[in-house]
Amino acid sequence: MTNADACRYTKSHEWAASAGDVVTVGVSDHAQKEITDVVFVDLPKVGRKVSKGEAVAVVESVKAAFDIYAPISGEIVAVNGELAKAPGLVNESPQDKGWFFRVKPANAGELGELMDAAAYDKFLKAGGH
Amino acid sequence: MRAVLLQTGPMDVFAHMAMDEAVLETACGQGAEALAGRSSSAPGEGGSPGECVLRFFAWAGEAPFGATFGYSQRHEAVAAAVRLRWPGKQVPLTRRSTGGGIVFHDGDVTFSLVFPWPELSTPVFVYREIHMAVQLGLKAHGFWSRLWRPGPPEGGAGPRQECFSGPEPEDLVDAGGGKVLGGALRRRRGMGLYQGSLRPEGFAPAPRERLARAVLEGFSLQKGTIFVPREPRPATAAEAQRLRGERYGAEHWNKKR
Repeated sequence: MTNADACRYTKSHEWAASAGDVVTVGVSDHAQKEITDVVFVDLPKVGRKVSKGEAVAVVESVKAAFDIYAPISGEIVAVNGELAKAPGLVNESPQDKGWFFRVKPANAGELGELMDAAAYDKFLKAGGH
Repeated sequence: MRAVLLQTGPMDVFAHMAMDEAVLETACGQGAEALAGRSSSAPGEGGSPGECVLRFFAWAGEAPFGATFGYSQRHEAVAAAVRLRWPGKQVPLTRRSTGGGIVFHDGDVTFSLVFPWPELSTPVFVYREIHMAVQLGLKAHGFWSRLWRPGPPEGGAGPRQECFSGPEPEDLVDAGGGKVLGGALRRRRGMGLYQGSLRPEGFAPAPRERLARAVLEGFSLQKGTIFVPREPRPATAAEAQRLRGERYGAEHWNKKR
């Protein structure tokens, strides 16, 4: 299970957790509550090169679709295939079983530019923007 | 409060979807700037950062004009539903960037709204706000409607394949409980796109033009908004043309599922 306190966060509510030479990405608990019941997740293809801030995935809840952004630049090396069968994992387990994709970072420094858990919490309390 | 009433000529389903996405894209830059409290250096379709853009669809050709379907729907199932609806007719189909079900465009009042989508606002909240505005406008024109919410026996209806096969929470229904307004949303970089379809049958014999006026007046009344008519900027029109060819009119997009 990903430790939420050890994750880094974006202002668009993605989390990123580093393990070895890959970074796992998903959406925060706050984001899944805002999106509400997820019915579909459109994931990027493995091998795709992405830039920090680029829209790389789409989450659909009843009536609404949301863009999900790459928190760092790099190459997509894995995606969570379970989400095709069980998109509700995003709601049930946003920071563990509901992960979206893994990125091999192009620039190791980018992860450190994201908010830590305390800063993200403060960000949310300030209204989230 | 000022907003833009974007005026576009008759177009097909592909061009309409492309125009909506182009407007959303240009507004996204503005939305991000507005949320940061800065003015935008690259103007979008809104007259100033964070302004709403409302647009009514005019259709090219003869009805049925086409069908649009939700972002995650399967093309094959949609095509089958369209064949059932309009047997023997070749009707253009395109995937929307918004969610929701199939919408058959054969006389509905179709419109879109690009707007700042605040943090902490769920899709249901946003959807309700938009539908309350339309309800207000319909009421001002003497048309009764209400927001539909499921009672205990109905439970929470899941997503429907066809938008108008029945109401979902916060849709507008007429006195007989028939769905008259449905819509779908997309959120991108602090901005939202709503695409809505108002069926005239529940308000017969009201002409479509009067219903469109009611929608416009509803948005005006809800927040005291003054809508200024304007044509798309050249950059938006060019982006829409690109998106029509490369996305909404393309197989890789429409048959991605």
